[in-house]
Amino acid sequence: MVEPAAVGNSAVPETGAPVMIEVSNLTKLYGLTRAVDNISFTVGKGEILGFLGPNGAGKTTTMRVLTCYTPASAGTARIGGYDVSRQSEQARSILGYLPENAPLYQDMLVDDYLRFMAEVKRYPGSRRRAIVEEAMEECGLTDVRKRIIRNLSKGYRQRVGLAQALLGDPQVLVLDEPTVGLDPRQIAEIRQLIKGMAGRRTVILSTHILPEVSMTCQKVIIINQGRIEAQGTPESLVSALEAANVVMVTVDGPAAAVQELISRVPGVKSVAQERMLGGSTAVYRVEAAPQGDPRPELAQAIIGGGYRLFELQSSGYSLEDIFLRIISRQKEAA
Amino acid sequence: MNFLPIYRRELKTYFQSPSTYIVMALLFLVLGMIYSQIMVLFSNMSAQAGMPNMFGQTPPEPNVTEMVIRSLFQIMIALILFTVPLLSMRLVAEEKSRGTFELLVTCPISDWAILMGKYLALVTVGVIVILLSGLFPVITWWAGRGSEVVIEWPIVLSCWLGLLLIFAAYAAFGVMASSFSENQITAGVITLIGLIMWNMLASFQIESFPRIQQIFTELAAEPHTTNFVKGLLTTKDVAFYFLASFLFLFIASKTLDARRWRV
Repeated sequence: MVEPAAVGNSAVPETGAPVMIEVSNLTKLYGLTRAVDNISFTVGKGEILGFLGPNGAGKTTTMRVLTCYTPASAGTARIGGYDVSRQSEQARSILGYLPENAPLYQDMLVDDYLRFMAEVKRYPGSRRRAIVEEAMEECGLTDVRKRIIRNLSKGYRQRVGLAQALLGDPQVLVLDEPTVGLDPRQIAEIRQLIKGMAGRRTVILSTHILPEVSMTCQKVIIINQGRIEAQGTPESLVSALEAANVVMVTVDGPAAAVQELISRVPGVKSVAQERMLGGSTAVYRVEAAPQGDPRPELAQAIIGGGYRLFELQSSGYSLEDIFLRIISRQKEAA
Repeated sequence: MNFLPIYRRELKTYFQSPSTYIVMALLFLVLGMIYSQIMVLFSNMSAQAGMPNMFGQTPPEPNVTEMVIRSLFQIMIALILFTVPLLSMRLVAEEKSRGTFELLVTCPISDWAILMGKYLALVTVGVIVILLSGLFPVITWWAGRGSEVVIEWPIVLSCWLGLLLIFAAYAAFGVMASSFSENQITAGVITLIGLIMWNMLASFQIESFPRIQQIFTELAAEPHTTNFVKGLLTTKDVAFYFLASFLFLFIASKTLDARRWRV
């Protein structure tokens, strides 16, 4: 069994950036259920952290503790140095939160709603207008400012929720499933928006969709059944898996000669025949070193050797594989 | 306290929603219908006054304050009892069911500010309703000008101030009930039943325990209205309604806070 980068529940401060979110030994019980079980992690200033896990893994619960909505049963959480239970109001004042499903006042106009939220967040009257304009600008809402929220499409409503979280440019953003229920184009837009925040804002976002994390986040935490199963950069999680580079090669030629040829390609660690396709055509499974892509060299060698090349398919482990492995390992253990 | 944004939003919601106008229109429809009946009765009685009837008795001149103002006051109390649940039920329950509650409480604003904003918006609607209902005594005075009909304005004033106090206490109860539930209808029913029970507390007959009977009478809402009709604004009654409002709002704030300690 392969082990991803950092397994377990330890905090791994990687960059030198000041810590903005600090969670240590956090546990949340709902009755006898451990929704969150002794998790610890930190997020540095300007980092985007992806919180990845299946539904019911404890993502929303963790976020609710971070946003001071519900208290932890044990452990502590700090936002910008403020303890969420003892200095809740200070913590909340540097926080922007998009709850799951982006709840909104459906009967308000977009700009009325944002102005109301800016008031609730205590931005002074003189700055309020500018703050609302900025958030609308950033989320592309200026065209719909006089529309009633109820009549907006799901994508726009999500953007209104995001604009609400962005009001006043808070230091920390907590986004609970920001792209759920959107169409592919809208998802891409929201992801682009979040990605653009890297370096400027500290963001923690939850999702159960994998590509989202590899596309937008610099750091990933995989959570399952309330426990952190792995954490690290998307790349480190991938490269931590042995044989990360697997290429399936379909070639027509004598098996022994083809295997001999492939094994001499630089970077190739092993080659094995996977299955015959009829005649002398076969699929070979080639394992290469994790650094670099061996496919161009493989193609050159096979064609140079006079064999007919049908297909080269990279099947390196994606985050998806890691995720599924972790989740299924959990099930086996249970 | 930062309740103003919530207050303004709630007030706007009240005046933008047709249900507020429907509730108010119904209230004044019922009040107007009963008022016209009272006036017919009153004019019949004053027409017969001073003239000996078939039994040889001379009915006295009816007292307009006693007959009209007092009836209006008592009808208003009953109408407020039915109006408050309709106006209050959505206040907190709707925020909870739509998820905006989570949004609000994760903003740097206290639970008290949220509740006070909502409560004061409802009380403001109450002030408007009660001021409008104050037109009825004015109409009575205007219709009777030039005659010997004299309205005792201090009693009108004490009655209408009493209505405000009663509305404020009922509104606090409504906010409390709304914080109990995610369902508006449940909140409304709890409010209506609760308010009726609160009024009926004095009529429970527990003769074998006079002490308890007395406590119930003191705690009930209805007995505290009788002094207003006499033109008396006693500290006891005013304090009673203020304390009741505070208590209900306090329970509401504890209910919201329960999410923090409930496992």
